Amino acid sequence: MDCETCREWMLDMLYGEAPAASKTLVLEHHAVCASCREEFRSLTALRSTLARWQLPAEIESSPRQGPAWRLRLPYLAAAASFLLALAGAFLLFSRSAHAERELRDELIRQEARHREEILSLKAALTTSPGMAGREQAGSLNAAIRQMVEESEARQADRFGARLSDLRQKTEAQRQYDLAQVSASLAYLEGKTGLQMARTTELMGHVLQASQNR
Amino acid sequence: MAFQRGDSSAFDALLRRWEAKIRGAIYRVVGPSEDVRDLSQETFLKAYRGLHGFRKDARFSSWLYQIALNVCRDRLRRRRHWAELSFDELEEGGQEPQMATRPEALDVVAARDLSRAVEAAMGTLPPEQREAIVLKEYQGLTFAEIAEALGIPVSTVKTRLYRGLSHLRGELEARGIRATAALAAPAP
Repeated sequence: MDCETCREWMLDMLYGEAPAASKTLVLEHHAVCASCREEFRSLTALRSTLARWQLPAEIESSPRQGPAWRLRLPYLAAAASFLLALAGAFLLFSRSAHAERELRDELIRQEARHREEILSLKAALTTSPGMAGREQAGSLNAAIRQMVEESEARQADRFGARLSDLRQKTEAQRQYDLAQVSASLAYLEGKTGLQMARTTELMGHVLQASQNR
Repeated sequence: MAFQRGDSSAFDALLRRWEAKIRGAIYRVVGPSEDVRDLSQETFLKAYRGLHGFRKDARFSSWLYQIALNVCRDRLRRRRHWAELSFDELEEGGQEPQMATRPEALDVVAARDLSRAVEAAMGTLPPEQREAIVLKEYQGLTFAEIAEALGIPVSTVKTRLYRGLSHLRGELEARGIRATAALAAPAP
């Protein structure tokens, strides 16, 4: 492992997120690299210092009026409105018997209206939306199927194109390698020929010198 | 999840579980001069209103921290800078002559000074590095959870964290605080 890779794993090591295999490699690197070892030691020590940052007591303690209380505000407001409405109704009732009868009749009519509305809503939920839902689900399934098929076709095209590209690249690389090998052989042959010529020339000189003697 | 179906008691249970953590994170991100409780409550109100936007495949912790950080960013944008404690202030605040003769009192003062120094050093960090350090160092989130909360790749999280730690090391050393390796690192 080199220093760059070691630094990449350093934070994972520091926070206990490094896999066991990487941990071993990092430790092996630390054994031979003083710089990385020192950096890790320094960061570990820094973490100890950072852990000394204490929150103020008022931040750590439980709030007297926490968010849960605030979130209940809408419910409290709704309950208060309901109580006010009840009180109003009570006042109306107490005004006179005539008003009471009228109010009772109105409430009966209102209840009947509400029952009708509920029944019609129930009917609407059990019939038409179900059909519409099934049709919608069917069309959705068809759309998803089509998307999957299109995606598969696209992937097949891409795979084919990549395969062809890879073939071309491999062939080009092969040609290049062959050319390199030929050039190297030619070079070696040239070198060998030159060497032979020099040897021959040298031998010629030696023979000539011996004859002169 | 139960709270998504409108079960407010389930949401209350979640609040009780997360409130202290979120409040701590907010304090560490925005610093000591803000009303942390207000920001915490704003976070939970936004979470409550946005329950339907919570994806089931997402981590609840990441989602909640994301909301909290957005609340903090809005507040910091208005304020621009962390109200940094100067080192002079730290020194002045740390002196209590009537207690200084007792060894345990000295320990208390030293611990408080160190805490303030770290707080002040954190205040000098760029916000994105501070967020990464708070989520990792103090909230104990994994790199993947932080990446999800901040909406950035894990590699960027690590870069911000490493730069932030290096910056803090320099800041603390400039304040005369050199950490020693004798102390054990806190559990992640």
